[in-house]
Amino acid sequence: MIRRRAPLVITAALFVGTYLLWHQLTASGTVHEVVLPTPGSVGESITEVVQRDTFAEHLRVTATEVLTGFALGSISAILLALVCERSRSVRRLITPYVVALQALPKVVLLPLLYVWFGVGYRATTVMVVLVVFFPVYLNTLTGLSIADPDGTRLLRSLGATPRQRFRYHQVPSALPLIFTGLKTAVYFAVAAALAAELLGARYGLGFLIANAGNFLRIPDLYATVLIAGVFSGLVYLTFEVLDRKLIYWRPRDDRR
Amino acid sequence: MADPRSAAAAAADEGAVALVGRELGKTFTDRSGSELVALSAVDFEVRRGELVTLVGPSGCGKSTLLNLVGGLLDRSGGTLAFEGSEIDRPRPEIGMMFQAPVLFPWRTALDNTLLPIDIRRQKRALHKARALDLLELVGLSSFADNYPNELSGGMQQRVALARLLLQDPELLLLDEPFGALDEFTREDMNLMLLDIWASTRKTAMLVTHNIQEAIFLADRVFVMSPRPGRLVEIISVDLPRPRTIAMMRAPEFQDMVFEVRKILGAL
Repeated sequence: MIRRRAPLVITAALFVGTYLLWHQLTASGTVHEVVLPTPGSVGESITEVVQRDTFAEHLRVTATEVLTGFALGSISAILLALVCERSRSVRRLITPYVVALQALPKVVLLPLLYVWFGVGYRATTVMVVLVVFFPVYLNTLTGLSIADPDGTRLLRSLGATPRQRFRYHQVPSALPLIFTGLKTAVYFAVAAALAAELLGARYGLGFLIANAGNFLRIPDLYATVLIAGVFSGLVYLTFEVLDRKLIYWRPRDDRR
Repeated sequence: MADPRSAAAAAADEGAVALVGRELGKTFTDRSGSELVALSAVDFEVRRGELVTLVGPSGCGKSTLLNLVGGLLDRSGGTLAFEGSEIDRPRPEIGMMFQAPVLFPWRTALDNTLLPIDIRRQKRALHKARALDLLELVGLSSFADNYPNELSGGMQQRVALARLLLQDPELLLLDEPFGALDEFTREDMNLMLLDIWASTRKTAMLVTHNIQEAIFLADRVFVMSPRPGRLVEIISVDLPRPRTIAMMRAPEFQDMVFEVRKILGAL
């Protein structure tokens, strides 16, 4: 308990300290308000942005893009990994393309996606699919290969069929890694959606940030960045909680 | 599940030959094509209800022999039959236990014990009471709902034993089952194993590299030597049962230990 509490105290102290420093720097005029607005004006701006009629719609658009892209990307990645795990020839065929896709920084594809799908949620969703795919594919493929040989030997001695070995051993052995992939992917998904919205969209949290920046509404800029941060944090937290519930056997030291 | 009639018949027929190996051989070929003779021309019989131990240094083929009997490996030559039928694949009436407990970390002790039931696609509910009884038998009644990472090495191996007993095979194949445990825990486990074996009268083959352990547990000790793996001597142990730790101090016990050492050392 004590070891757990100590960092919490430090974290809280740092937070308060940062706030006080921020307040002091801006209130005294040391830093100009265009560069860094006061905590109070950012706070007011957050309330104002959240209370706008359109805010719910912006939030909904970003959430939908992230979730749709994440679902499509991770499901296709898991399915393809399952196929590649079974068939060495399919894996050989596909690997160069997967590697090429991964090596390319996906953000540079955005202009092309805008041309293909138009500026808006479709292009953003495709972007999310692209960034989600690789971490899930690779972790699933690795996960499916780590079932320990002793377990296989035991199941064989019990007369288990290959399907039973898959279900009772290979899949549960892979789940911790698959979930690690999903957690990485969801973090990428939020980042990719926000980036795509920043560069071209009429809706979404990224658009709100870009808009505040374009009109040089500095408190709004800080406010929308903070809101996007909270959104991203909540999504990640959800997956962290899911991970602890579903992968309850994950070794303690792997846990972060 | 063992049919009660066949179990009764087995009890009546105790002493009849259950397992026969003739000219049994196993050669492994690696990728480069070079061959390793793991087991060569092994002849043996195991009687029903008998406890046989296999002892020898690393590489003597004792685990290979056990894997052949378990149907996990294909033999390269000779014949091998259990209760009159050839062993060419794993069989439900032959159960195995390994040096590692091999428990699935996502299953509780109870669920791990019930694994054979899942594999046979039987209803868990019908076997849960028996699984709990077996966990109690191995001294884990209050740990049924614990996950393996919450159990010590010895306790994990007890779960593995309960799982083997739930499978209820006629022939138990034990591959250094307590080899990874400390000496005190291992002694406890050996005594528990003997208790269970005495009350169930199952046929058992146990692999060990510990000569004292091999003699202490066995009706007969199969002494094996490496390169190539061969069965060089069979020693009958006439110590009375139930065995006690004190028997290990008896002169005849020490004589047998010396004899096995001599066989292994002279080769």
